Amino acid sequence: MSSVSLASRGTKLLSKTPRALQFAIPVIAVLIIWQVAVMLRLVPRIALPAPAAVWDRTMTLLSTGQLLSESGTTLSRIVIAFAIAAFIGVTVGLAVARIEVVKRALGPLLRVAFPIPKMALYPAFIILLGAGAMSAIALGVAEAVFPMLFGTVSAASQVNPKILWSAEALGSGRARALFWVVLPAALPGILSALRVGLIGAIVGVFIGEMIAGANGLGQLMVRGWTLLDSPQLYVALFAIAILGLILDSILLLVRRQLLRWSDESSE
Amino acid sequence: MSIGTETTAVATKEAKAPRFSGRAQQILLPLLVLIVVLAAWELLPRLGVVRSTVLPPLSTVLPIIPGIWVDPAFVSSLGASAVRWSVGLVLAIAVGVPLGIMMARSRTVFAFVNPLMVLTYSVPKAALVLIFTLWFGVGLWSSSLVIAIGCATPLIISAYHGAKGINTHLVWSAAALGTSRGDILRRIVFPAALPEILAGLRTALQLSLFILLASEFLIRQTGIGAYMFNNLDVGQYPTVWAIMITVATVGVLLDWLYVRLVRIVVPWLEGEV
Repeated sequence: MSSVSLASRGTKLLSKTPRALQFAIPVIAVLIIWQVAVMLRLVPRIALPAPAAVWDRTMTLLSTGQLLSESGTTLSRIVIAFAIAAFIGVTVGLAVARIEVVKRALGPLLRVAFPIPKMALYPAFIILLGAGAMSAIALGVAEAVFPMLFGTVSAASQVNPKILWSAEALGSGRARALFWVVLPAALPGILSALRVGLIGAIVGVFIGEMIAGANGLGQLMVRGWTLLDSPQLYVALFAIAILGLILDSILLLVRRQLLRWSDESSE
Repeated sequence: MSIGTETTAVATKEAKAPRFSGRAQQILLPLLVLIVVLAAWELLPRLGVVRSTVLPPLSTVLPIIPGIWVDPAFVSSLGASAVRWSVGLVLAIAVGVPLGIMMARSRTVFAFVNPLMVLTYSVPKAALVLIFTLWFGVGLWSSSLVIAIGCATPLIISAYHGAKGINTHLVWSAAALGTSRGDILRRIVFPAALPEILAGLRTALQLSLFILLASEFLIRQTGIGAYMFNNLDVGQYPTVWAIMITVATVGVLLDWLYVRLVRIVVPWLEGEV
């Protein structure tokens, strides 16, 4: 579970969105180093094309509409994987945290399953779901669900029992209290866990597309590699990085909206 | 803050209470769930709910496992994977931990590295293996470098937080007593950051197996991942399932072993690893 808290601290590092200038200097420096490395031929051209070549390729892929359509495909898969993982992670997590029988029945098994390298399950997904969109989504779910689940468990376990007692004293049933008291109280922690899980969904879907996909940004990258069209590799990488940043900012916005009542909304 | 600690105290009391009443239950319940899962794996294909060519019954998968371990192809694949895995992980520690500590000690390093890490945070590092094969060719370096880059991320973050959280009075006192900069880093900052770094290493360990397998699935030359896909390509599904159980078990055991090892090597460590 500590790894989850660590990962959420990682996103905290991420969330300190500094001003544009603070980003501009390192990015410009990297671009200069990149250009110099290309001019001095420090790296073979096939492995590191010139920035201008990557830019040109981006423009061509944009003008043919291919880049947007592949991005859309990948985006929809990430969203599906994220939604499935969030639903499973939060519901099971709430149950494990607040229902004694579930905690004792599932808790130990989930802790054993946590360190299983999810990548090892990918051949199973291919066998069961076929090579394609479904197995890529399944890998995204597998990568995303555990941090979400354990993040929910730790957030929901720390809910102040006094507010639960008050709810019960006021005649709220257990199930209602779980939904109306525990869930909102644990929401800050849950939303942090969802952010950690988002990375898992992105990585799982992209790698899934690379290994056994027919389309999507992962496949765009692999096609660039097989055709030795290295600028295309970089276009796909930049596209997934931007997609990740956009999704993460959306999640942050949602978090701020949902937690307007809480003192943790500004995190 | 005092309210928070009070609630956790109450919560742990609540959680501990039933333990005495049902020690046996604590083992029986998870065991029951496990049996149900395993029975489902056995019965679903047998009853024809799932095609047994797709999901072979557990009883046909399990006997294959010992045979895998004596298959020379498996053993040599495991060896190849182990070498690139350990080289990658050692590289990640050698670069990630000092870099994270430097980020905590120097504003300039932080200002340069942090934005780049934020921008590349969601990039699947395993994908970089394709670029490295174009650079170094298929082989040890391309796989090890991806593992190193991927695993450096959690190590940098944890070393940064560990070194950032250090009590600055310790550093000032040591400096006042004439301790050199290098000695301060080695003897004060590093030990203080160690608990966080060890937690980060646990994440890195799990990540390393993901990246290792992903890169071997992508470049199907040698290694466990390639061995797995070779069996998948020829339709040897029972063998694939058997390898998956084996690799999953190895992953769980490595994590367990790591936590144990940390407890033995760093007995003064408080809290969770």
